Amino acid sequence: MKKYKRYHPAVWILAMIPIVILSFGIPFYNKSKILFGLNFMSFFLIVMDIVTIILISIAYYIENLTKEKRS
Amino acid sequence: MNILELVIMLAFMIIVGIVGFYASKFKPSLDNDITEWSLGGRRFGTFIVWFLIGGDVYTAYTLIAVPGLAYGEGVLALFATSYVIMTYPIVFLTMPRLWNVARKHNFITAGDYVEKAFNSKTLALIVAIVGILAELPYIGLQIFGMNFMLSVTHVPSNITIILSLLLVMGFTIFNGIRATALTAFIKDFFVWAMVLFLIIYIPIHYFGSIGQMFVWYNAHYPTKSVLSAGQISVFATLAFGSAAALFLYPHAITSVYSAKNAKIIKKNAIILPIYNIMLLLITLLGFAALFIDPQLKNPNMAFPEIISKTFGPVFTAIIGSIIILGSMIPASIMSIASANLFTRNIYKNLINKNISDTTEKLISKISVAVIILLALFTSLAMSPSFIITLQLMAGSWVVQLFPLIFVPLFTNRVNKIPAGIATVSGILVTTYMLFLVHFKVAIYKGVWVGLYGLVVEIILLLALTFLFQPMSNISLDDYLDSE
Repeated sequence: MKKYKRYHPAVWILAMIPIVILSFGIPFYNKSKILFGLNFMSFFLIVMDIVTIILISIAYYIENLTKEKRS
Repeated sequence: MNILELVIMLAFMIIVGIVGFYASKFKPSLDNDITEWSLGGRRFGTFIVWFLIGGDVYTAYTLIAVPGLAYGEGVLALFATSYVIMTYPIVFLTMPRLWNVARKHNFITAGDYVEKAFNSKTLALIVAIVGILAELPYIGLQIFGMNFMLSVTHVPSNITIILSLLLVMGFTIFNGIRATALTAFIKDFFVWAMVLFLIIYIPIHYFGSIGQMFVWYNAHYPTKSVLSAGQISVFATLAFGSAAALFLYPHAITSVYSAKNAKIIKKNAIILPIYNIMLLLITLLGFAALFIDPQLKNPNMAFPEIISKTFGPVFTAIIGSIIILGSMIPASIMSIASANLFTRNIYKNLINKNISDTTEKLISKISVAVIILLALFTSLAMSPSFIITLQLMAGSWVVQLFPLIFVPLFTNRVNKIPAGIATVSGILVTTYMLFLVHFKVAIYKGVWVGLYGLVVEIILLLALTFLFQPMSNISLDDYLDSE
């Protein structure tokens, strides 16, 4: 049974999203206004942490799905 | 000296000591080989790996230095949270593949993998030297973390530090990574409890709420509450570079290798970001410290000062004990990782490759003692700036290992010659950049120094790769999940 050697492109894209947003989105989240009791940057990082968990979960699901389908 | 404070600290150390020495009884293995001592027989499940990685990534020095950076530089300190968020997608993409190939070929260190992938003992030697040089000051920084915290207690610092590290040395030598994993449970339980309590109590006690703390901070430190134009590139490059480097550290790779299967690594890449919330919360305490004492000469004293000025000596001793635990567990796994690199990729490659498994384990155990004692000596005898310089250098060098460790996970097109030239060039360029800033900081013209080396590496790899024959020492199928 031959398995695919590479990740599905969607896995790469999902994994890259947090890296790209956090690296290049600084001008967007570099704000001192207070949101839900936190300064914007702290709040944004918590949101991005949760988004990262969700994105990697989807990547994990896709990885399992494509692996099974292509085995 | 306050006897009660001393008793509290000793009690914490004794509990950790008992658990550490008892670790061999926990799910004992039939094997008693080097894999068992170094990697727990590669039998750790999701939960243990989560605590193990959490235990060695979120260290005592992190708990001291990050609020210290927030105290001194404001929101720039949030780069630490940003970088650990970025780390886990990289872990998801790379580490399961590394685990698969390590399991198939029985690799124990990153050097083993590089040696096989490139058929080169020299490249494995580079990985080992950079790895050990990176771990030594890292352990030293843990000792600084302890020192800063103990300085606000009434307990003799040096004796407490020496005692705790001797304890770490003892249980690590006896039980290897099993001891690290079990004691990491205790450390993380207390660290989580401490952080959650402090982040609720401190802002309410001084400001009324976290929101009010930020209102006060924005009003009194407007320039620190946002990044300046010059800090944006520092934040971005420091965060990205640190994210790329974190899982090139030998201790992180050791934690990964100890997992039962690749799926456990993938699951951990999903759940480990939960730790980042804790890191962000602890960063915020640095802002509160400015309210409590805005005149600190050493920003690293921000966290210890908050504790000592807010609570009595007993509670300060309890927090001090938790910080000591936070230093002991990383020191344990860092010493194991360094010892394995020395034994397998330096001793066996340069001195005697025909040693038995028992001898190999013995050399690794002796190396653990040597590494911990060396870190202890350098931290107590040398100036803090020496250790920090070493850490700056090694931290920037570690990321230069990426063509050796990350690239062959995805392609066997890269030959050992371009990989070696790129890595050595990256290290030299990074060192030169550090020289330009007199080894004082890791930033040159607003960019993290490691990134200069990384760019040179990528250019060299792209330019030289197609001039050499592809390597085929490891089949790409070996990187795939076998379950």
